[in-house]
Amino acid sequence: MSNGAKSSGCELIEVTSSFERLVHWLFAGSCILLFISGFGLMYHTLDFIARLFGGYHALKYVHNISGLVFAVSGFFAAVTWFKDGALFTADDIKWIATGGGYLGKKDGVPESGRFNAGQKIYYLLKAATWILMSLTGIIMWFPFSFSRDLVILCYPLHVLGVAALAGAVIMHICLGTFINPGTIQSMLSGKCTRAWAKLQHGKWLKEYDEKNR
Amino acid sequence: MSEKAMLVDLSKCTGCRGCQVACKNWNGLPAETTVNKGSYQNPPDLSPSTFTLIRFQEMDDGKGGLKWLFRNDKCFHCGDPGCLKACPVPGCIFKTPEGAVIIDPDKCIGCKYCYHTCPFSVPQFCSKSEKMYKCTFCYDRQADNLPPACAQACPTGTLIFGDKADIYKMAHKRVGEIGGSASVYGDQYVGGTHVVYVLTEPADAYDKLPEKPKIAGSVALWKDVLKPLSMVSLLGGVGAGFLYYIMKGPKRPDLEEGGDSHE
Amino acid sequence: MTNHWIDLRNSDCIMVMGSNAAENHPISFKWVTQAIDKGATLISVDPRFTRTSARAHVYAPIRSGSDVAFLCGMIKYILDNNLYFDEYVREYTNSSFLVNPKFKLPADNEGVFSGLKGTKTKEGYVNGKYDKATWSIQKNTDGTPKKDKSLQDPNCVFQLLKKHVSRYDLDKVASITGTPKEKLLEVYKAYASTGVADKSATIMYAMGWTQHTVGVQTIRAMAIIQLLLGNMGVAGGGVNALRGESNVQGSTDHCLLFHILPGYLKTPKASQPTLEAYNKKYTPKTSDPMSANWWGNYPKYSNSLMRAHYGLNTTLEEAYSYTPKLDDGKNYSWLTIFDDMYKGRFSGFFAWGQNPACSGANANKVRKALTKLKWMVNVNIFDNETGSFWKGPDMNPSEIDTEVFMLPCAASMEKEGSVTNSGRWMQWRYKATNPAGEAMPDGEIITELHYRIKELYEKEGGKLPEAITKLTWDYGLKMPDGKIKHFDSHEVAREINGYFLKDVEIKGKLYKKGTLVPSFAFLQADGSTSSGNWLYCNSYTEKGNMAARRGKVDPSGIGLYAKWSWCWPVNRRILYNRASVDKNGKPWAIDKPVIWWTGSITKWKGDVPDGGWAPLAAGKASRYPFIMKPEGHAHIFGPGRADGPFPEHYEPLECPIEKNPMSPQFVNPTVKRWDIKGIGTELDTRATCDPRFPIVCTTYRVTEHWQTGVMTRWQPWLLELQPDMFVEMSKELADMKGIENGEIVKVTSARGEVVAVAVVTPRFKPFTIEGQEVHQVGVPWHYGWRQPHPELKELRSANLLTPNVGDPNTMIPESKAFMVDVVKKGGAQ
Repeated sequence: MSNGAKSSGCELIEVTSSFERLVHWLFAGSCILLFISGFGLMYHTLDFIARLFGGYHALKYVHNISGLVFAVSGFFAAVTWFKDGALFTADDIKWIATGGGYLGKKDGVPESGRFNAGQKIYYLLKAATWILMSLTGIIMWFPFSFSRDLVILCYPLHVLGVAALAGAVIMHICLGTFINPGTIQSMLSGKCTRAWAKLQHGKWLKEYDEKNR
Repeated sequence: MSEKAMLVDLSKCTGCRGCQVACKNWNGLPAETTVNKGSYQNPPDLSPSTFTLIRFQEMDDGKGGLKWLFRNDKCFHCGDPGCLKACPVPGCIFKTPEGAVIIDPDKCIGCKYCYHTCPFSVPQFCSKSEKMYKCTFCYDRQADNLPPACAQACPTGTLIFGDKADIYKMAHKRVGEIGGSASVYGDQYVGGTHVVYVLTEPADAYDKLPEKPKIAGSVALWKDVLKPLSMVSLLGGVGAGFLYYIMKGPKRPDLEEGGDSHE
Repeated sequence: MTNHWIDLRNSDCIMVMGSNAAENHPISFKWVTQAIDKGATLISVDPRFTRTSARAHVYAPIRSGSDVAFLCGMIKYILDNNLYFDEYVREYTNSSFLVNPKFKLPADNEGVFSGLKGTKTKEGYVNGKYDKATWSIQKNTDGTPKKDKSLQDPNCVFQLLKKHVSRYDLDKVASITGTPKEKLLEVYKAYASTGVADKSATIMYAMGWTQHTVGVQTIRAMAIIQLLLGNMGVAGGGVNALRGESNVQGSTDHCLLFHILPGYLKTPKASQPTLEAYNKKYTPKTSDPMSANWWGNYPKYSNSLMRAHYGLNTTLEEAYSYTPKLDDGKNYSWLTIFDDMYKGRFSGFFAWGQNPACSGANANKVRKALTKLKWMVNVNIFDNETGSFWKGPDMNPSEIDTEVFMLPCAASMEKEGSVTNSGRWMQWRYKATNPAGEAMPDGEIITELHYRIKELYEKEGGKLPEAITKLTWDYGLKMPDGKIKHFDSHEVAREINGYFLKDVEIKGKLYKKGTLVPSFAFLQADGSTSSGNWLYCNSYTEKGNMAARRGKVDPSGIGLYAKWSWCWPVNRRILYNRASVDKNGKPWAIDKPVIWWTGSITKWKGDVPDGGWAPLAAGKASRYPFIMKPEGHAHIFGPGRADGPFPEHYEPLECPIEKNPMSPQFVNPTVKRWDIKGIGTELDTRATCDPRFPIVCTTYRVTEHWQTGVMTRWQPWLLELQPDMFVEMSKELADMKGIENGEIVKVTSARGEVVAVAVVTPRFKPFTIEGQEVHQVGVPWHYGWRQPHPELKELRSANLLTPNVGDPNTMIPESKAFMVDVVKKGGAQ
């Protein structure tokens, strides 16, 4: 059984690097600001958002500058988590088939590595929308430098990105907070409990223990 | 007040540009420093300080002769304005009951969405003030029962301001009189424009005049489909998370079992 | 204008030739457009396809300087096809008059009319002058003209005209003008279609006709056409000069020019020592009791003018003796003034509301002439190329002794007064705002000048001080020192109208001393009335300021608006309107009547008739319609001109062909030729048929600027529209010269060079003249160097190129046809 802190479920292990956390929060923060300002710019009924930021002019700048942060941090995010997020294994297929235990039965869900298949899908979605939103955003920002046809195509594409992302980001937040308690710690302190790791990323924990043996 | 419109009867225009100067005068717009580049058309295009412009165009008449076309170009004041559809700021672009489509510079944030979403690329960006400007249909004059400054200045009857229904009728009557390739331009597009042309040539003969202007499909897709979809997505995410939590509850790690599997 | 602006709408065919009304008289197109709406045909004849051409039904290109040939061809077409209005021509014109059998037409006399005296050269006569003895009308024993109403007599005006224009056949005209034959026919046909009773056609002309060595004859040709077609005096007809300045009609009426006094009275000559001799000389007589011979009233007008100048301070003869006289045979026109100035013949100069350094033909000569002055006063609302000539390009201020004074004056909206438009409407305008800074209205400046000069004469004496000291000058409330506190333009307007200077009884009615004269019919030759301008007598009466009227009703239905402002003479809106009706007083055109006879009690209705006599059918009680002519008939044969009773084509002083296709006489024989050795100076150069200058050039204006641009170049909204000097040329010429659209080029003539932006356009096309390809270019004359870019130190003024030669009647310079070359300067703007 448990043998002191090391073997206890409460034992804290480092799951993310500080660089990862910085990238995550820059990316996440800009993304959230973009969402808020973007919705404020899209829906006249949400004009409280503009008031919150000191008017529409300020809101435009919030959106544009967050957009820049989003584009830059998105690049680092994509690179940093490429190995974790972009490479699928047979287990991932199984994970998807079982709905990761969230939708179907909990039995038969394979243990996850550093990213489970859901997170990998999220990674891909984020990567794709990062490219889409950055490109269309830049074109929308400087419409006189591009052809009319291209610019007016970017407007729906940009919002398509929003539609694709909005639900996913909310789900990401839910999953990372109240649905999976303890998760957010790994992006705050960078540490998680062994128990959490076992539950969420069993395979990774094994590999971690292998390495730290 | 009833809906108003302006007839631009190009069969009568002499290119005197009284309209261009009257517009600057009324709206207090500064002159641009221009150069002669081999054309009478100057300033070369609409700009934040040029709301109305006569476009000069020389054209072979196909019979060994020449035509010199003069087109008074300015905002069409669409019935269904693309600029208004695209504008993110509530009340920044608005329609008056008379049909004028106005950009309120005090509210404009310079996002430039209205430039390309306008089928005629009319709104113009001022990099100094970071705002968009365009013809106001002189709604401030209309409030005093005065016609727009350009129409007031026009000596030939090219620009005629009046009730929309009358102006539309006049336009069609005039086209009937001229015959040939003359046509009415504007009433059948973008919700019926409040500036309608009597064209003497087919629409595609004129520089920078879209043959069949309409709000682009992509703009409709953006505003009518994807914009609500994005809200659905957002609310869907929130709803799904909440629903999952109350139905299935959180997924908590078993702290006691935490360590044993790594052996 | 014999008619007026609004009347254009009554026309069935409008020819715009020698003007570019859509561009330079844009408001006229309000009425032209209305005429077109009613079915009128618009014709544009111009070397270049203009904004007027863009609206025209027919556009005919024409080489600059060939208008007389174009119009003589039309006269021939009308006569050959019997399209003239027979009754009108027979009864109202001098077509039936028999001319002196010794009179010779150019066809029979080496290209000139009989009676020419002058030096003969290989180009024909130069600096000639006509002895008009043979240009006379044969008289009956009672002194009335001999007539052949059948128009068959070979010596009758009609037959002479027919013979004269028979040389202007289509091929010949096309070859001179460069106008394609089918275009000539199209224009002739459309215009001549109005030679019927109920149709009218009108001509809108301006400087494109007058600025030629044959300017007056061009207008004469048109007058003949209008008479042949019965288009004078009728609504929608007339010969309409579009004046180039808002008040140039007014300033001409009030003697802008050296050879006339106000109201087109003649300037006295040194050879007319007394008022009596002067009046006798200029008062025509008639032996025909049916001729009104209105100028028979001459002494009433001239004597009233003397009274306006000197009041009762002098006798009439004394007043005349103080009036300046011309030296006989001496011309005092613009070109002569600057020639004299260049030759150092006078020392001071007032450049008042003008810019000769830009507007004068051969402007380099003008600019150099200014350096010879001791002093110059520049009165203008802005500094200009004239006021600053001494620091302009090619000038060395250290070598120029001319002292220049600038007197800033008020702009038109900064003062009250009247403006007379082309349609002869005297319209009162009010002051909108005070003049800026020290600027003063012209009237104030002149009043102050008068006061100072008078003071000097009173103190120091001098030659003929009374000419100044005895002048009346009651233009406002006088202070104890005799100075006027505020210049009052109403007082000037009243003086122009005229007063009764004593109680006068006319036709049983008493007119009190000091009251205003009701109209010129009341002016007297005995010195009991004054009038500063008899034509304007009736403009400011005891009923008030007629020019300030703003009545908007038009009971005439043809747009006379008789209660809007006031029109000279006696509010008659259409001149010669007695010719708009038949012998019984019934209008030729029933749907647009100008006047009509309603019987001996109710008389004429409609416009103010050209005299209230009954229609011609009334016999002796009636008068012929053309009341200003001694015989009462319009002049188809016009012996009054210096260069011939009929129009004849002569080439411009500078032209692209080696000889006149019509005759051995190359250039108008009666023009004053400074380029001939011993007459002018080294600057009076000419280069005709010179390979260095192979291209025909003309000058013009654009809508966006005005005159030399002194007002408009400082107005940013206008400068933005037309920012710089340009030269328009055909694609063909540009290709030949390797010039790109928008490129900076140099235009050179024998007299100067101008830097301009090349505007390469299909609106100019090469002409075929006498079988050879001739190119033409055009330059606007609005630019100089003072603004917009004085830093360039380049001259951009079209008049540096133009020749200083003028029409022999008017001395208006030939700025509309001369020869140049265009060369690349390199680099875009």
